Amino acid sequence: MRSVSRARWLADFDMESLVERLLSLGMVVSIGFLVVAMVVQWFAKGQIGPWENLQGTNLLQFMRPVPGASFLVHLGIGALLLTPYLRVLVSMLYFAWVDRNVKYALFSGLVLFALTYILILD
Amino acid sequence: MGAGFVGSMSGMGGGVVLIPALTFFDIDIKQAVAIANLSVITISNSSASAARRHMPNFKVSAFLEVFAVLGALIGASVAVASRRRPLFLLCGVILLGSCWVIWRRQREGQKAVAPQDPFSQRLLLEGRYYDFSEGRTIAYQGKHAPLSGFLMFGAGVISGLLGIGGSALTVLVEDLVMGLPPKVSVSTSNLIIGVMGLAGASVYLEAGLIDPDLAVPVILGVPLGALIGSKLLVHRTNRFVRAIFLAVLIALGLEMIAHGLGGIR
Repeated sequence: MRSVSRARWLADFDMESLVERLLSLGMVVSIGFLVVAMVVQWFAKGQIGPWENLQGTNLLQFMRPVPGASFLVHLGIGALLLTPYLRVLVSMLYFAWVDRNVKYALFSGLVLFALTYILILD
Repeated sequence: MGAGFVGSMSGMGGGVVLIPALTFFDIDIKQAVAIANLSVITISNSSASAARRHMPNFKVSAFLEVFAVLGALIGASVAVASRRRPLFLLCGVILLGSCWVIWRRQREGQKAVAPQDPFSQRLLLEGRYYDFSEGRTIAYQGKHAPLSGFLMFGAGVISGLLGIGGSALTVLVEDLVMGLPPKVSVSTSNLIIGVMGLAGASVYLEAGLIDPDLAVPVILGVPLGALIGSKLLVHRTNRFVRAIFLAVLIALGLEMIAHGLGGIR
């Protein structure tokens, strides 16, 4: 019974829709942070920008709390960068768990490892 | 916004519009390239989120991304440290030469499809999608996977190094080398360029070259143009899509040659 349910779930699994929603959500979150940052900056200082630029950072350091609306801008840029990263993660999980395809899970895993290293660990 | 429209209709990044515009306003070329990598991610996210159902091939994307990301990391690392005038000239020549190849192929009509090579067969590089403009399901097979991977590495290097051309080459590799239908090439390219742009952007982020003052208007303006472009893609024929791709490729090639001859600030 469980195998029939799983087989049906696998047959109905819509990877394309999942990826579309993930990418859409990423854009909405990113744009949302930026718009809120501009509104906050406008009410606080009567202007939009300039924003603080952090030199020589990885993504985690770039998204750390800083004073003012620049923090929201950094979160918006960070959300943009994390969207394709999460898409690759979803792809890896899809190939490993749904498609049960080791080759493509490894391909996605390699990409994920490289991106994780340069974005977070470096 | 123009960068987004051009990018989504042709499956390429919008750096072709963005970099000349930014450098025209005396923005440092390396900062412009960094922002172009961000725009590539933005276009990828925006176009793919309105993607036509079952057009992108996730297996092709997963396979080619390995090479694209590696190339982009290397290209961006080199760009942060070096000058690029000779590469602008070289890439311009390569892109214009590719236009000639595509144009010749279009004139000769669709050739007989070559059989799939054993390596591509083992990777199961195949798929099908429903083409709204033709009203039928189209099945296809990807070919020449090893060569495609090698060329995708080169595309990644160029993308990371110059901020433009990588996505154009991605579509070229998928269309000419792998033999994928143009719409599948464009849709799959939209996925790949996002990861390629991320790899390049991460290097530029670490170098402090991503200026939020430039990033904010790009992230806000590009999706609107990309959304308009990707909505139009569904109801266009493969021939129309290829024509758009050719026109942008010619503009890109001439622009890069002009950069190389005119000097880079």
